[in-house]
Amino acid sequence: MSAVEVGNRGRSGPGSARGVYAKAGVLPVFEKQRQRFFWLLLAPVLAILGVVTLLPTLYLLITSFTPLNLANPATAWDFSDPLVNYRTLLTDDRLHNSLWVQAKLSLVTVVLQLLFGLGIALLLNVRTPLMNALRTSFLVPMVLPPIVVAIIWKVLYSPDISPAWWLFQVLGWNIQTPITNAAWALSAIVVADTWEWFPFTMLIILAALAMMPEEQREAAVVDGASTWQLTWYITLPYLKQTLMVAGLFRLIDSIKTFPLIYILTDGGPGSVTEVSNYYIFVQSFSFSYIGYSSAVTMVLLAMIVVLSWVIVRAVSGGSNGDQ
Amino acid sequence: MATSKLAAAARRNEFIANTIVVVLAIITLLPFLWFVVMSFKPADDIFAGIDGFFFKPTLENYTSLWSDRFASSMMNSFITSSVSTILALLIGTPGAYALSRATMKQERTMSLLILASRMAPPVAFAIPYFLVYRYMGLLDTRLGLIIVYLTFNLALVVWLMRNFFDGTPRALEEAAWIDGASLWKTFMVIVLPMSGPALVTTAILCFLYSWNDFFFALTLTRNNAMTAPVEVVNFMNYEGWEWGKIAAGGTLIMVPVLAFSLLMRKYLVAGMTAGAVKG
Amino acid sequence: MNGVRIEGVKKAYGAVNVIHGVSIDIEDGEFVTLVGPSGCGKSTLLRMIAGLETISDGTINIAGRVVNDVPPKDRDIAMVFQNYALYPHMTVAENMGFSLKLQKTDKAKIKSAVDGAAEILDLTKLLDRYPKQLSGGQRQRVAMGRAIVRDPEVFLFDEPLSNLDAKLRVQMRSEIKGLHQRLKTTTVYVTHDQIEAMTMADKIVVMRDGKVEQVGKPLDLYDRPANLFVAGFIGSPSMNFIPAEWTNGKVVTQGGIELPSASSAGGAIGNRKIVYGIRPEHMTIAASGIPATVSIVEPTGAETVLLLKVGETSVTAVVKDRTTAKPGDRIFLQFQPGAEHMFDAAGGARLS
Repeated sequence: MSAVEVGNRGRSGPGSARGVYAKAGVLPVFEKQRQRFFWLLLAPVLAILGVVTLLPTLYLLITSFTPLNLANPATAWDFSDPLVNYRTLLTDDRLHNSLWVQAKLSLVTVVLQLLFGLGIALLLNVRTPLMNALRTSFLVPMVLPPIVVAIIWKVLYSPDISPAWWLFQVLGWNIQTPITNAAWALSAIVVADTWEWFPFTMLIILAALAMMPEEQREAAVVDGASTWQLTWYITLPYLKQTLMVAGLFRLIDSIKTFPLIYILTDGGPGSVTEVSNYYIFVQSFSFSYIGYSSAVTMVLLAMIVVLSWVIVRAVSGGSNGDQ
Repeated sequence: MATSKLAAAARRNEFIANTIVVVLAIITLLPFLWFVVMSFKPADDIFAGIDGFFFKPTLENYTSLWSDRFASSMMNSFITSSVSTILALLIGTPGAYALSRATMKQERTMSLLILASRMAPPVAFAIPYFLVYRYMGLLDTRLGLIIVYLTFNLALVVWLMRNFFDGTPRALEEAAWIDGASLWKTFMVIVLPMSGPALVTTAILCFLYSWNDFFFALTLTRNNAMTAPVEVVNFMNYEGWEWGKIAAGGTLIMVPVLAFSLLMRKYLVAGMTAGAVKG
Repeated sequence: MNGVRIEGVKKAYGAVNVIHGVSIDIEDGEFVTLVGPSGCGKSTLLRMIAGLETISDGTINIAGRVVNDVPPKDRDIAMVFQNYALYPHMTVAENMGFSLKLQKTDKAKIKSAVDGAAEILDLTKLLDRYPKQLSGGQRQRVAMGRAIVRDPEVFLFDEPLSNLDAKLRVQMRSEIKGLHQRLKTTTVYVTHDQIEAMTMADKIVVMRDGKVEQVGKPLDLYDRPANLFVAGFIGSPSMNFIPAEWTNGKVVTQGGIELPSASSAGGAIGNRKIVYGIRPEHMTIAASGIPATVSIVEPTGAETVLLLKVGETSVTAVVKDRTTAKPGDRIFLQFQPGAEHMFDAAGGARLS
C-alpha cells in the first residue's frame, strides 16, 4: 500500500476487489450481471452433464454393491453383503485371464501403432507433392466406423471370400483362418486394430513435426548431421512427449476395444481374445449378472481415471518444457 | 559438380520415399477397397475364388437393402445422431462460452472430468442406462439413444467450443458492451456469428461420434430404434451370411463418415484428444 | 464539471495490488495520455474508466457522475482497442453504426451519422467492405469511426497505433490529433511510446508500478521532470545520469571532475550524494570543459550521436555539427547553462 492515498473513503481495506466488495455487499452492477449471466449459461450444461454422466456412474457404483441379477428382481436393492462382488472378482479366474489378454492386446497394439505411425509420419514429413496428395488415404482406416472396420476384417479373415485366401488357394497353401485358431486369434485382432489406429498416432506425430522449429534441423544439418543422425538426435527427442501422449491415448482407447472382438472372435476361441471390456459385456448383457459386472466396471473405470490423470499431467506438465 | 551430385542424390531419395509411400498407401487402402468393390458384386462372384476378380458390377445388393428394414435403421441413425448433436450444441455452446470467460480455478479438474467421460468404456454407461431405461420404458426408443449420446457429445462440445472461445479476442465483446449491447445480445449478435465455422466443425464431430456408435445401439435397442450399424451386423447372424448386403450396408454407413471426416481432417485429432490437448 | 475525475483509485487482483491509489483530473475537452513501461497499470486504469475492470477502491467520475457502479454501455464512452476489435461479420458501415442501432436510432439518422464520420475519416468508399478486406491503417480508421459515430463524452484509446508500421504510425498520430482538435472530445490515450505521448497530449500522466510519477504538460515534463524515472523516461535518447556529490555549492563526480551547476537551488540542497542529469542534446564539443573519452561515433546525417566516458560513467551526447572525433579521442564537453537537473541519490526526487 502506498503511503499517500487520495480519496480513501475511510475503508482501510487492502486485498481483492472481491474481498472489498463482498464485505460491503456491493459488487458493481455490471460485474454482478456478468456473473449471473455466466451462471445462467453454465447451469444447464452442468445440470445435464451431471444427470447424464455422474448419476449413472453413481448408480453403477451402487449396483456394484448388490448381487443384482436380472433374472431375480429381489436382488436389486439387496445390500446385505455389499462387498460380495469385490470379493468375487479377486478369485475370478476368467476375469484375471481377461485382464491378462487386455494387457497383451493393449501393449502390443500400442507399440505397433507408435512404430507404424512414427515411421509413416517421418516418411510423409518429407512432404513431396505426391505425399501431400496421398496423405489423406492413410487416414481412411481411422475415420471408418469401427463396426465397418470389424466387418472388413471379418471379410479378410473368411477364407471363402477373402482375396488373401483365394491367393493362398492358387499358390496351393492350406492355411487355417487365424480367428478360429486359439494360437493366432489374438494376433488377428492385433493386426486389425493396428491397421485401424496407426493413423491416429501418425496424425498426432505429423502435427508435432509440422510445429517443429526449422532452425533446430537446419542447425544440425550445418553441424554436419546425416539424415539418420538428424532423426535420432534431433527429431526423436523432440517427439518424445508427443509419442508418450499418443501412446497413452491409444492405451486408454484400447481398453474400450469392442466391435473387433464382437465381430471377429466373439471372445474366443475359448476365452483367448476375451478382454475385460468384453467380459463385462458378456456378464451383464448375456448372463444378466449386473451387480457383478458393475463391480468389474468400477475397477476398469478407476484404471482409466488414473491413466487420464497421467495424460493431463503429461500434457500440462510438459507443455512449457522442451517446446 | 558437387551441387548437381547433391541434387541427384536428393532426387533419388525423394523417388525412393515416394515409392515407399505409394506402396504403403495401397496396402492401407486395399482392405477398404475390397469391401467397397464387394458391395457391387453379384452374389455368385463374391464366393467365386480367384475368378471373382472380374465381374459385372451390379446394384442389386443396394436395391435389396432398400426393400429391407435397413432404410428405417438408417433413418434411426440419422435422427438420433442429428438430434443429439443439436441438443449438445444448444446446451453446450453457451456453457463453453461461460467457462471460457469466467475465471475458473478448477481448470485441471474440469479437463480431467471431460477427458474421463470421453475415455470411459461405453459399458460403464450402458449398464446403468439399461437398468433405468428398462424401468422408464426408454429401451428401444430413439429418445433413449439421443440421451445416451449426450454423455459424450456434451463433453465434446464443451471442450472444443471452449478451446475456440479461448482463442477469440475478448476485445470484440468489450467493444460491443461499450457500444451498448447487453450481455445476452453480445453473445447472440457478436459471439455466435463469429463461431460459425467452429460450430459446424463441432457439429460434424458430434454427428460422426453418434453415427459411429455401435455399443449403445446394440445394448439399448431391439427393433424400433435399431441403428444402421447394428442392423448390418444382424445380416451376419440369421438368414445366412448375406455378404453382398453386408458390404452394401457397411458402405452406405461409411459414406457420410468418409466424406465429412476427410473434409475436416485438421480437426480430427482435436476431437479425439478432447480433454487433454488444446486444439 | 465535465471531463473525467479519478480519485484514489486502486486495483487489486487477489492479494496483488496493481494500482495503488491513483488520482488524476482530466478537464473537459482535454487530450490526456497515460504513458509508462508495460505493466505500469496504464491499460488497467483505462479499462477501469471504460467499466471493463472493477474498481477495487476510490471513485471514477465521468461528466459529473460517479460511474463505479455503471455498466460500460451506460458510461457514454467510446473506446478504440489495440487490435481494433472490429466485428468481422459486419461491414464497415454496420461496424460504425452498431452502437446507434442498439439504441434503436432510426435508419436515416444512423446513415447520416455513419456517412458523416466516414467523410471525416476518408472511409466513404469502404463502407460496404468487411474488416478482413481492409489494410491496417484503414481498420484503425474504422475503429475510430465507430467511436466518433457515438459522439460520446469521452474517447478512450488503448495503444491504438502499436500494430502499425512506423511510417503509418506517424501519419495516424497526426490524424488522431487533428481529429481531436476538430471534435474537442475529452480523450484518454494509453501508450508506452513517450514520443507519441509528447506529440499528441495536452497533458501527460507518467505511470510506473501502479503509481502516478508525474502529471504535466509535455514540455514541463521535459524541462522539469519530478524524479529520476520521469527524467529517464521522457526524451530520446534518454537523459544522462552522472553520480556525483554536492558539497558547498559545488558538484563533483566520484572521479573528481567538477560539473557546472548554475542551479539556483544552492545551499537549500545541503551537502549530499546526488545524481546529476544532463540531456544528450544539451552538450556540445568545445576546446575546454569537462574531459571525456570517445567510445563510439554514430553519425545519423542530421546529427551525430557520441557515446562517451566521463570518468567511469557512460554518457551520450547528440551534437548538430559534424565531428572528426574518433573512438579513443580525448575531447572536452560544454553543458548548456541551466540545462542540468539534480536528483537526490537516495530517493530519486528532484532537488530544487
